[in-house]
Amino acid sequence: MSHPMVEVRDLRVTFRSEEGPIYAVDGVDLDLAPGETLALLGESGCGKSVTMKSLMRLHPAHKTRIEGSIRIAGEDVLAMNAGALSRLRGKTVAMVFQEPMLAFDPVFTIGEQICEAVRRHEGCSGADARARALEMLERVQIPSARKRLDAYPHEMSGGMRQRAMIALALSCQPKVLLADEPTTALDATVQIQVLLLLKELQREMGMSMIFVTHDVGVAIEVADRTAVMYAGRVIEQGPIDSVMRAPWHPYTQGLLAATVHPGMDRRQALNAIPGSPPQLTRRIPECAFAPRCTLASASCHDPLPPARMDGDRLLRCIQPASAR
Amino acid sequence: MFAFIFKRILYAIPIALAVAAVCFSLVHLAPGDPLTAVIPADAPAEVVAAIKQAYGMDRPLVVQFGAWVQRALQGDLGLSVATGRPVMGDIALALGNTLLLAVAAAVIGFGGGIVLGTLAAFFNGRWIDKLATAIAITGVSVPHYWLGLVLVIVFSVQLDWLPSMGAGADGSGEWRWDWAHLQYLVLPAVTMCFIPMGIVTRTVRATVAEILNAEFVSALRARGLGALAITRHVAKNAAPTVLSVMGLQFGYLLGGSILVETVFSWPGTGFLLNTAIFQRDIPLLQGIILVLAMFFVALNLLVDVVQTLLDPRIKRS
Ligand SMILES: Nc1ncnc2c1ncn2[C@@H]1O[C@H](COP(=O)(O)OP(=O)(O)OP(=O)(O)O)[C@@H](O)[C@H]1O
Ligand code: SF4
Ligand SMILES: [Mg+2]
Repeated sequence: MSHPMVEVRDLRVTFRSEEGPIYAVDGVDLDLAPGETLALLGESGCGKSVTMKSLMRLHPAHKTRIEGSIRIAGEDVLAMNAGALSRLRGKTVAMVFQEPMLAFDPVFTIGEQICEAVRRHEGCSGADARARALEMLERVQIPSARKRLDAYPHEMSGGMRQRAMIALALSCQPKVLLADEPTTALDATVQIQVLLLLKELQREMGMSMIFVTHDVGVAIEVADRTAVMYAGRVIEQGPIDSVMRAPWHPYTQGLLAATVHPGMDRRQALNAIPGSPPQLTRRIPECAFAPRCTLASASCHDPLPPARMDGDRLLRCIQPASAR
Repeated sequence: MFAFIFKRILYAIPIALAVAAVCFSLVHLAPGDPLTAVIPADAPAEVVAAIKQAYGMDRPLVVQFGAWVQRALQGDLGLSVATGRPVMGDIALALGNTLLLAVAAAVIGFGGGIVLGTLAAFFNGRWIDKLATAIAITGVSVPHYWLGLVLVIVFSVQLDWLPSMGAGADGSGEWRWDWAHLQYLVLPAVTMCFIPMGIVTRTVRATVAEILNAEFVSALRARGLGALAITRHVAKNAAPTVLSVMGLQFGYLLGGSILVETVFSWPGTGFLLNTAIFQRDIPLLQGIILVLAMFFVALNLLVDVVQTLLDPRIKRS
């Protein structure tokens, strides 16, 4: 692998709340090569969005502690001052949010918002920025793009809004795109269109992308590699084909068994994993999956050792991969 | 756009008429004959009738109302029963003074409220927030005539820094923009600024805090926008709500200054209203209430229009 675009090591994110600390992310390792797409998988509340926001340091500083290391395009994100951080955001790394209605400012037009971002990063004139905004709206295939520049977010349909959001995110040609469940809020048919569009634009622009989803089918569709999260940790990571074909971690195995995916026998029963994920109000030194794991042994309740690389795959489980 | 503004003005006309009707009838609903103040109790019946006829008070109320509105539209609010002068002239003079006081109080109160409220929202839950909230609650809870008296005792009587009575040294009532006149404005304006400051602080705090919690603010930061650009977004989102509250508060400043103007003998509409009430000067009373109420209606209209211009989500139909 050439030198990575994103490299996250042992990321820990703790929120201060009135009821005490919340250990939302507790040991995340991620690697993303230039031009690569990584699907971040995991059930609701496992810390996918918190991880994404940490990559841009979007959490409120006074309520959040971030430890570990985050390097993007060779730069140490956690060491950046406010100025460097605002140059990184939107320019090197951009984000597409799950609900575009909530991610646009409701009282400014789509055009104004794209222009503002372009002018911030490229320092160009208003006319040039507008030309770029128009170009971007055409690129994401919004019909009558020129008219849409002056539309307010509430005047567009959900699918159009998400296209506009993508146009905004890509307007300054970022090197990394963070897409946090960009299609979850859309209708099924629109979902596929937006997904294909994203994939195509990513190829054209040569970006890296982290794509958050809890839909295994979508992950297979878009990603080169996948990272699976459970209770604030990445527990398995590797090329999507080999992880899907032969998941190593008991949680990944359970997750896949509970999903209908290509090549799977339809008669096979969908068996969800019994039990539920742990509360994150306590730091969990041992394997957080132990209470639900069928392979659990006594040593699973000892502090969990760091992840092990095995070829091009990473596993966070005390049992060696060969045990499966 | 102009069609929309025109439509709003059309809507305001029936409201203005209804307000005028209330003003007019209030006086007639009040106990006592409007003319008892000027007619001696033992006056002969024909003298009473003659005076009533002179003031047009012998005609049916509806006719009186129509005539009153018609004349009011031409700027004629009748003659003062007490002084015999045209009511309009006195009201115009007083209104100028009241506006001056209201604008001064609004500048201090709204400015302070916006600053305090914004700080409180940005530092939600921390000591600045608690301080701002404490100031806001004190501001709206303290009776302002009492505050006025305390300020007079401290700054006029004990320290002798500021005058406490009237609007100018020579007593001519003519305003000039110099310290000799401005110093008369300080204490009444400060007294009156506290309630609007408290209310604006609380409104701004709640509105801005809610906006800051919205996901789009996070999204704005994700675009690399700096604090200034984000403040611009927050301000435009908060403006419709805050402006409507400020419009209402400005209305209260115009109409609700009777006690403060009385405490400071400030020659404004409140002071005049007080005089009118004590002298049972009905035309003057009606005129003042009408003019103030019309200001209120106009203010609401203005807020409505500005709000719609600022918030694209309000339909302009
Ligand atoms: N600002 C915050 N303060 C406190 N706790 C938070 C904060 N943000 C997230 N959390 C908590 O962190 C945990 C992980 O949340 P996160 O949003 O990352 O989940 P997710 O994996 O994105 O789930 P979903 O699929 O539902 O989006 C949750 O338990 C959540 O309650
Ligand atoms: S560490 Fe133990 S409990 Fe955790 S997944 Fe592996 S086998 Fe199961
Ligand atoms: Mg999420």
